[in-house]
Amino acid sequence: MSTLLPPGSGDPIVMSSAAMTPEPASAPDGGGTEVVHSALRRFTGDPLAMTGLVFIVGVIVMAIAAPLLAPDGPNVQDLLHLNAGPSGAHWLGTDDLGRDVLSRLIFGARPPLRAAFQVVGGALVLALPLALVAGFVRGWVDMIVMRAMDALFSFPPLVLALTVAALLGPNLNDASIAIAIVFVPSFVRLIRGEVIAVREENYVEAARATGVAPGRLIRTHILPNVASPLIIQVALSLGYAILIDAGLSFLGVGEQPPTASWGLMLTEAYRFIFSSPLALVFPGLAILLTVLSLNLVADGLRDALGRERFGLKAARRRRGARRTEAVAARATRAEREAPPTSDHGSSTAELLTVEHLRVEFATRARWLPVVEDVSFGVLPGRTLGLVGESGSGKTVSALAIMGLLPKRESRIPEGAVHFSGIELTRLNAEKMRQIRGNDIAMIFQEPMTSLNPAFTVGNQIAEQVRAHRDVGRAEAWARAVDMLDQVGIPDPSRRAKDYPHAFSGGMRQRVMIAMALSCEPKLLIADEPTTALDVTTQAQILELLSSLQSERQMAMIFVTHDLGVIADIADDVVVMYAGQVVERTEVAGLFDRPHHPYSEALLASMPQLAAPGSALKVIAGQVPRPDEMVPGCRFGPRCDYAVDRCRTEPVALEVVTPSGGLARCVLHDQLTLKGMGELHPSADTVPVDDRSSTASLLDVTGLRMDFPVRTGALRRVTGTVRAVDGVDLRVPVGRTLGLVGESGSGKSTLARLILRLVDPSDGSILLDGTDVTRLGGRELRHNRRSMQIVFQDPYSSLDPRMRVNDIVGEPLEIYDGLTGSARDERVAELLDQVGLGRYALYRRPHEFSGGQRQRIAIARALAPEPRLLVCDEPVSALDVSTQSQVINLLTDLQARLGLAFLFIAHDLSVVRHISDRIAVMYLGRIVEEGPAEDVYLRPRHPYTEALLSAIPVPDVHRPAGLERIVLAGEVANPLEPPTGCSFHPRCPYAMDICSSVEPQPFVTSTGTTVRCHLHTSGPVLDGRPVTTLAPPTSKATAAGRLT
Amino acid sequence: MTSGGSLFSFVARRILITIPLLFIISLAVFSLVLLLPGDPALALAGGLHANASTVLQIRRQLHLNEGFFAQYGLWLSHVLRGNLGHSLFSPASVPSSNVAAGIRIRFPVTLSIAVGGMVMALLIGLPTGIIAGLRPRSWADRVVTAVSSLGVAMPDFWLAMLLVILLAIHTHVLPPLGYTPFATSPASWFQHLLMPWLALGFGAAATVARQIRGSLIDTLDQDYMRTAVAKGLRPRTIIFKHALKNAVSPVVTVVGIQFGYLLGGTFIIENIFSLPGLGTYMIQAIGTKDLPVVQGVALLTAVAFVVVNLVVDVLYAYLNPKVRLV
Repeated sequence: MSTLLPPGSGDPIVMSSAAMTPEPASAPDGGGTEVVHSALRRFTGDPLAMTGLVFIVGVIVMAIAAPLLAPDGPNVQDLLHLNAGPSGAHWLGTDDLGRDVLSRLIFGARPPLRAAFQVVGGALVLALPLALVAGFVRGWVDMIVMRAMDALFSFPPLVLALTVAALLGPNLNDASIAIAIVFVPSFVRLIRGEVIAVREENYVEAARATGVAPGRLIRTHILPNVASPLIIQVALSLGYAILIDAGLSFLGVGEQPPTASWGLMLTEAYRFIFSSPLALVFPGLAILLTVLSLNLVADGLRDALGRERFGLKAARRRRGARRTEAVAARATRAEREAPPTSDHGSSTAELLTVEHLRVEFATRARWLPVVEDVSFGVLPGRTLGLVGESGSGKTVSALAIMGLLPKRESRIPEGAVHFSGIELTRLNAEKMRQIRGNDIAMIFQEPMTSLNPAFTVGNQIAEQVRAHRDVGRAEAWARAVDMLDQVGIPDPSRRAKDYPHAFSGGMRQRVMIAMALSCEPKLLIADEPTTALDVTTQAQILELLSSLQSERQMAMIFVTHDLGVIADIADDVVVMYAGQVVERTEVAGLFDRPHHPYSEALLASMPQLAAPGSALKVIAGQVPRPDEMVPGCRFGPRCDYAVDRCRTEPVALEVVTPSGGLARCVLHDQLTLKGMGELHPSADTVPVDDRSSTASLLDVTGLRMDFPVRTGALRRVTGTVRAVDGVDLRVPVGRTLGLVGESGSGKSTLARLILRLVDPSDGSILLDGTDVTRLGGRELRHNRRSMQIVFQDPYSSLDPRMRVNDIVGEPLEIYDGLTGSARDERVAELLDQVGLGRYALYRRPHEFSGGQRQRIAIARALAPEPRLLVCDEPVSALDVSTQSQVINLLTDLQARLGLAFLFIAHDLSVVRHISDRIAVMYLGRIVEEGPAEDVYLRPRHPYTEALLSAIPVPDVHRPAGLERIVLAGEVANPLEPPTGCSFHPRCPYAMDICSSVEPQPFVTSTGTTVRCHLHTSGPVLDGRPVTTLAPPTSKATAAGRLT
Repeated sequence: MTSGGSLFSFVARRILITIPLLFIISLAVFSLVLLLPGDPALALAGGLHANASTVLQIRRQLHLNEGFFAQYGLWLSHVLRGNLGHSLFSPASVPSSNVAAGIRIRFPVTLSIAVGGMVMALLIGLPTGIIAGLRPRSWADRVVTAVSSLGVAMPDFWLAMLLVILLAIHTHVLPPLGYTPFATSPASWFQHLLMPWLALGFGAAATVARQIRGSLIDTLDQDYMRTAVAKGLRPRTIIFKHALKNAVSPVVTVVGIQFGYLLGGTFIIENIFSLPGLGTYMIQAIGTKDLPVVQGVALLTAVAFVVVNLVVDVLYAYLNPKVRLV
């Protein structure tokens, strides 16, 4: 990321301005954390909140200094002036006893303020320990505390306060602690909720894994993150306490006359409401303004602190990412784009033509272009792939076609989108509505959030039909059911009545497709529709889209970052980089002979086909943000071929191939770039070198983890889910075991079990001969030193409030007792090891990109000098080029430090690249385990074979014989695991025995262990049992097949 | 995946949870006696200068010689049969000396004030909040936000007094005090309750408006709203169907909590407008430490609040199918 420049190389002005601006999404998950320096600055910049704060402080000072400020004592009577109006002697007049109203008002601030602070303070003292214990310990303690809070919450607050105060006697000082009870339940609920939320954050898990003791965990990680919502709640509660105090005083159960207090003054004034109504105004106003100020302060705090909490919610983060990709940052350099170039020929036949599209987003300073000079066309019945890393502008282009860009924050100053002869960008709202969903439909990346949770899926499909067709309810519903059937949802007429949450991710994406196709659109825009899905589900969805498309002769725009998917589904491809089209061609052309260095680099950095053992190809640096575009070729700074010419002038898109392929490169006629064939020559010999014979570091035997399942009105335990079911694993010293499986297979639970973040139900975990399942408390914490974890999500795995030196330094304090500069010195060394400079020391996580954060997480994991590193999908959230950087770092660290890895991923090609051995997990069990190349090239288990087959291989010339195996159905419901082999309902090879008898492990001659009946009681193929393997499959698809 | 949980089983489960809750509440209400300093009978009879026979009589009436749980058992068995005991100080000949009877007469008054205040709050709060939420940072939004900030900070009884000054003293539009039962004259009933409703409803309206504004802004930012636009739905379907159903559900919870505040607020407002509800009853009882009355009123308000929250939870589950599974 560019906000971080190596020391000395940074222009300080650029750095500081960059630090204030949002960074572009640098990971598919979104790197959109707003770069914010301090909540304090935001708070002081909020005029309303500051006014409130000044007023509150003023009132407090006034109350304390009342004897000095008030013109008179609160009870000094001027019997000559009773109920007098304002005068020189009495600025606000006098009351019925001739007391000076102004003086009473000043003194009158004391009781309500004192009461408010006592009440809220008391409530905090009571609530904090209760909530921390309830949230931290959970279980029955939590149950009891929360039921008690429910009971307290059942009393209307004022009634509770009134009753308690009345029985305790009229002296509010004694009663205030009792009234505090009114506030306890809301404090307890708030703090407990936050504790539970923070506890589940990866950074708290990481701290526990590092061996941070519970006390320190609460002090340094949980309390600071609970503090901001609590402060807001305190401010609001102070205001409400003042209102309660006034109410109680008014009813005569608070302060007693002759005390001066705002509430009592109202009571007194009320008696003379007919004669001197004005007396009511001042105390009422005093209360109103004080409470208002407290509320304004609370609002200001919420705005100021709220935004810093980006560690907490994934959804918010994604949204932030989208917005920052959209609302791009303040500009640092102006740039002039070359005049639009090259129109290509076939536009007459095109269904959709995008011409020189330019999209700009509003920033504080100016309109910033995020998409420029984008032109492409889609032919009827064909698929156009739009490919690029995050920040390339592919999604913005897709949204622009649909007119879905945020109205006020974006504009399309140049360019046009023609669809069947209609220009869409200038179309009026109603006409555009009639096209959306009807002629052009769209599906999105996040099937989990793209459906409305409040309506049944049938309803949501039917309403779209009714929006575009003049049909009745019944007919629209029938159409919805029919569409669900067409997208392969079993039992569609019943499922149509289900709400989205009752569907899995893959099924929801099917529902989205059913909805999109319900009006027979001519064009479907699919924006990363499979990115959030498992590789097996992705294969299902891709196949479904292809078959639906060919049935309907529908055109499709398929947006993705995955070239493998492009090879699979697209006919034509547009490669985008930094808001521009860099190459546009037919798919085969791109893979055989790319004409832009970025295309070549993308092809090269795919892990799918990298030769095992070699370093992955890396594209140095990051995609630039919209506000930091260089004047010349935008890819220039990262390009291996760049010459001086590239840096000076904008580059035009030019025709580079006879068939009309376009590329934006000044060197296009001088360079001969490498295609797939040259980049990834297939290995004819497959070395199966078993490096696993060294001593064991980690030995897991019979590991099991059961989760109780509660159902029914009484929440009784009615069953158990075996998340991990009898797992045996071995990781040798200095080696890597890769662990793969679909989501729901139990991989992450296994990782947490091994680290003892959760306690196993059964089994043993030997680390260097010590059984960690038998360790407790201090011993366990000490032992944690040897194993560390790196999580998937680089955004939630670092405490957003801590600086890098504290994050990475925490384990050093715990284990080595290092503090201060000695600690920071060591942190700097660790940062250096992971490829970050000393400049990162004093920064906070939000100032880094996804890849850099992952490096910080690795540095933290390295700090205790562990021998085993558990990597839980460490690269899944990163862009292709960043992914390769992190993997290369890990392999490098292993070589240098002799670390052992347990590397978890759903992507077999990444796992294969880094692993010595691979274990495949399905429904809590290891179904196959063996040397990496053996498993990858000669899978013995049908599930492994299916996983391998589902990987979209970037090979446009895939032999016809190698049709993909698309697994039917989804991972079985772990509540009702299938009998026998748990994979048998989805297994294309299933035999009778599979549904009744559980397969036992079988060891092949190459040292692979497999649990499958095919190998023990299966058929004999070609005169040989299936356990004897055919030679490795031919080139191109390196992934193997069952034979 | 499991199919959606049924609303019926959710309601059944929710009611089952409520029963133990009601017991805890009854225990809490009964425990109020423990708050009395020193000898409860003496404290109730008026402290050190109390008449010895009164003390004795109170001790007998409240079974104060028994152990705490025996007292509670006796009390609860009476309560379950609808007997909330007798006022300590009203002579038995007065009908309202029976606490249950006293509450029965007064509860409708309190309820009509609180419910009317809530209706007022929704009538004002929902539309203004929606207008503000649909166009954040527009002038309409700024006005709504500013007025609602005042609304949540304003003591409702002060607003009540200002209304009296404005509408009853200065302009004589509405009667300043008193109450007419609905059965006697609906018009007069309405006139007498309008000011209490406004006074109570304004603050609640402000809270409702702020809540719906915030939740509408959040909802409009959701992925499924973009889907709704991409589907080519009509703008009013997008707003009134897709946005509002989701935006309203958090507000439903707030309405439940607000009802508790309104019930509490009623206790003060009744004293301002001299309305014969539970509030005035309670205040009298507090003045004399009339424990059975205090306990009875506290118990009833808590139960009413629990029932309202039960209804709110069911409504919430109706709006959020996902909740039914939890």
